[in-house]
Amino acid sequence: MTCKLQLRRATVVLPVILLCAIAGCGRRRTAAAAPAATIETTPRAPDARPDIPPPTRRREVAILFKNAAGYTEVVAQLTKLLPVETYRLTVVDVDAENSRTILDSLQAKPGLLAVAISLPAARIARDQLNVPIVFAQVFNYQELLVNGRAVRGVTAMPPLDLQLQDWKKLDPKVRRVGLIVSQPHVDLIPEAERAVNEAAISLKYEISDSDRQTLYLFKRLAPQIDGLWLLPDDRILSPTVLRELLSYAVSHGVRVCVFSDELLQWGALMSASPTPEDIARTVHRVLDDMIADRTNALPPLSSLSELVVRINGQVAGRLGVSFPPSGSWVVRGERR
Amino acid sequence: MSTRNANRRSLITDILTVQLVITGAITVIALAGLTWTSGAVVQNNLAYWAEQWAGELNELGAPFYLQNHDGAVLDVERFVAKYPEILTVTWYRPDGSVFTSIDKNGPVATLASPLSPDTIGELSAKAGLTPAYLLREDIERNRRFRLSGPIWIESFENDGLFDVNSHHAKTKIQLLGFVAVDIDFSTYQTAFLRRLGLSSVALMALLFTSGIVGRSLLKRALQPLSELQEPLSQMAQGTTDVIFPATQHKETHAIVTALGDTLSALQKREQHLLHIANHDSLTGLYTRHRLVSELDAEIVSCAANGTRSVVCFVDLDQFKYINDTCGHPAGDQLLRLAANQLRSAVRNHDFVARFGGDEFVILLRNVSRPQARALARQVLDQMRSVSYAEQGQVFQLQCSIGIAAITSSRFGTHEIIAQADIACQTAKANGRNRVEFYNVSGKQSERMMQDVHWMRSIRLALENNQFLLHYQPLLHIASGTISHYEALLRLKTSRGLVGPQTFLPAVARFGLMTEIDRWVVEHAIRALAQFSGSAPTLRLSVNLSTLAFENEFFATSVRSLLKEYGVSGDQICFEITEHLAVRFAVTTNKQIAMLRDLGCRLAVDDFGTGYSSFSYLKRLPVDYLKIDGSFIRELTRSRVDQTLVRMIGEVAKAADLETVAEYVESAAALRLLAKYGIDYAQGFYIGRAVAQPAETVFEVQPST
Repeated sequence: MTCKLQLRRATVVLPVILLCAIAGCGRRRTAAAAPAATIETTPRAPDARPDIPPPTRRREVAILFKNAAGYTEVVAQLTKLLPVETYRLTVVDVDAENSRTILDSLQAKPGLLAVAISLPAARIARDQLNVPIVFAQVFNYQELLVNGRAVRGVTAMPPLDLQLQDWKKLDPKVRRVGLIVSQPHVDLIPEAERAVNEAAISLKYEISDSDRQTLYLFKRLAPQIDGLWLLPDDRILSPTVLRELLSYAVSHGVRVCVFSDELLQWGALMSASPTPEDIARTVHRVLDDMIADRTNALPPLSSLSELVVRINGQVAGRLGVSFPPSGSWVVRGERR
Repeated sequence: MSTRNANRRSLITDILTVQLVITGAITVIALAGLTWTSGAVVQNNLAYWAEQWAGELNELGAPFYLQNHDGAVLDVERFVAKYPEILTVTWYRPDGSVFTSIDKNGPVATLASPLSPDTIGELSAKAGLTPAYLLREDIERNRRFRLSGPIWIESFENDGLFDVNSHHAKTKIQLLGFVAVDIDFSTYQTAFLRRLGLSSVALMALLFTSGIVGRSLLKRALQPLSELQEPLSQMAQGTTDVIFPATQHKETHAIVTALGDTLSALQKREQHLLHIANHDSLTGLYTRHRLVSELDAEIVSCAANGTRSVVCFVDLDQFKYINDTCGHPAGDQLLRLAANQLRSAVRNHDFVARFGGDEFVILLRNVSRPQARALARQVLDQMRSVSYAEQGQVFQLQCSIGIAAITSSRFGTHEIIAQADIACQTAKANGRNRVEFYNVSGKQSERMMQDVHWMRSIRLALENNQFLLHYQPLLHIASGTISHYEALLRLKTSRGLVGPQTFLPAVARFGLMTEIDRWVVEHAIRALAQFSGSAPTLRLSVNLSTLAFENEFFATSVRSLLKEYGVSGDQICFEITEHLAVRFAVTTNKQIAMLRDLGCRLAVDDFGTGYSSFSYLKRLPVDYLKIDGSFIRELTRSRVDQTLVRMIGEVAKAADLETVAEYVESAAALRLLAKYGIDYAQGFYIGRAVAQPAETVFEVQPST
């Protein structure tokens, strides 16, 4: 419920921010108009944190992560963001040989908090550390939310409404959007429906059980939609299907909004992915709330408030979609 | 001609046959190749499409991952129905058991057999790979095959989408089962073969039509050549006044031009031969042969028209003396002079021929007796008006003329000539240089009748093959063996066999010598062939008359006869008189050279009676000298003869010639001949002429 209220507020504030961004209040990144546009530095938004009384002692925080491109940047931002006065950080690569030993040593530390960046890291934190956990960059989080455990997370995707509004702004011709999710993520459907309703876009969704079925359903959906919202639902996606789906989309004029700029080169029109900074900020906020004993007030997942949009210039040109010369920009929305 | 052509092949048929055979062979090879490759092409094509279908079917979503999706099954059925070459699609569970199977009509009641463990293993290994299918011809070779592949689903592990491009992104593959597509391209192949068959039939029909049309076209194209057949046939039959049709084709034009040139050459040759046949080479006057034809026609004309013509037999007086005194060139010149005078003495429509030697015949057409006499006297005067100087001597050209009249067809050509000849003999007997008319008195008539009788007998003998050859042996003195035989002519008469001395004068008189020569040569060569079995090394000597070499084709005819009878040239020796060898040296040398090229040998007969100058021996292209019998008959008694014979022997040896002595009639003579180094002997002592030669060793007879 809380999450929904926050989302509603965000939907009102967001266009204003967006307008400011378009007017040039925010700095936009410039990038080459090529598939998988280069990542530009993004000016950091000022932190909007409520004042928190300084802890009486530094809390031990173990940051567990899987050493992969999608996670290391978040860890880097997190370590920069978390104030040293408040947190004593231990960063653990769960794939490292000594990770078990480190975790065992950390287990004894009182007041330990675990931050897990990636699902493997979150699993290890769940299984090996009997401590509160904040996870991020985990899409299939359901298994982590165990009753009786203080486990909270950050959404793996930017808010759907933010994605959709920017998408609509980029490509006004998009009026019908398709969505294919697996059964565990059917809760995304209402969020998506709200987002499309506000954007005056219609939504068609399917529930898939496998990558083959996803491809099958997409080919049936393609004549009925202008764009596909591709979520990082790895249970119903495979490398082969991803390539085939994106290729089919391009050949049939279906715009695809993906979750990672790495998919731009496979034929997606645009990617709307979270920024490491925003992930780090959100994790920080959740941590602060957990430290302040507000865990129970926290929703299972805290939303991100920022996304970076990147465009595949070739696909855009082929589909007749105009885009800023930079090829990418950052969209921010208020959360609190 | 039509019979001959019926047995011959048609060029048009041959050309068309070759064309059709080649085209047919190419067609068969092409069809075989097309048939052979069609299967591979169709199969490869369908294999490609099968691969596409495999992807399509997998993409459509097999019943495995569309179990709750009713529309998907219908989609698969519609897909199968769309492609007639798809027989069935069968889905198998991971354990190889059949899950379901559909064909064009929907689900199949009778399911296929489960997959074998080997197939399951092969297909399972292909899950997640590319290409993920197997293609096998395991149903019916070259007509049906099966495309099978695994059905699997794949997903990222551990939120791998966050690192989708990394090689660390792991995926999980779950095998759902297998799908097999049975494809039958026999429809295509059948359709292809049907079309191929129709094309083949059409091609054969085209070939057949082209053969018929081609035949007509070729016939038309070759018509210019066909049109040459008739004139060529006429040419082959000896006609030279043929006309070759004009042609517009380059190739046939060249042929027609060549034929035209050939025809012209033949015509010229014919004219030349005609001229040679009808004209004497020395004087340019008509020949005896032509004279006979002319007289035959004149006799008929006079009989039919009641006109009168005369034949004048002209004999030069003292020609032999002049010839012997001044030599043959002088004699020839004299003959030419006489011929010129005769031509100029007569009228244009009169006919002048050289009868032979120094004898001429003039046909005065349509004249009375006085006119004939006057013309004959004019001839005399014309002749007398010529003086001929040679070697410091001046000779007056004179002649004797005998005239015989042609008033009816009572007497034939030869009889008329004989009458004129008799009249000429009368003129000579009465003092020469005069004209005498034929007077049918007793002796003249009797002689004439005798000569004509012989002439007719000889002609009959030639026609009825009443001549025959007898063979007299010649002895090789040194070895005592019979070396060869001389062929001697005999005539079968009611009184028995008669020798040539009886009938040769008439033969010469009536111009039959050439026929006799030809008969003798042919039968001698035939005898050599006939006796080759019993006497393989037999050699014959054959006598030739002085007229033999007047035929410039004599050597050629000998060559043909030798070839025809399979006789070697070295088995025959031609005997010619000394007179012929020396007198006609220019013309005879060429023919002698040709005969020698054939391997034939030459002998000078009656040597010693003609020109006594031995200088001729150096030039005579001969192998033997036959010493005249007059030197041998009295050899044992005449020292002069002995000396002469010895001299001839020595000179002959020096000239590398062999010698033959005739008329050897005693052993003493033979001994002397041996002593003098004479090589061969012939005569009654050696042996008489026999009907059949044999190889024998001479036996010395008791001395006589």
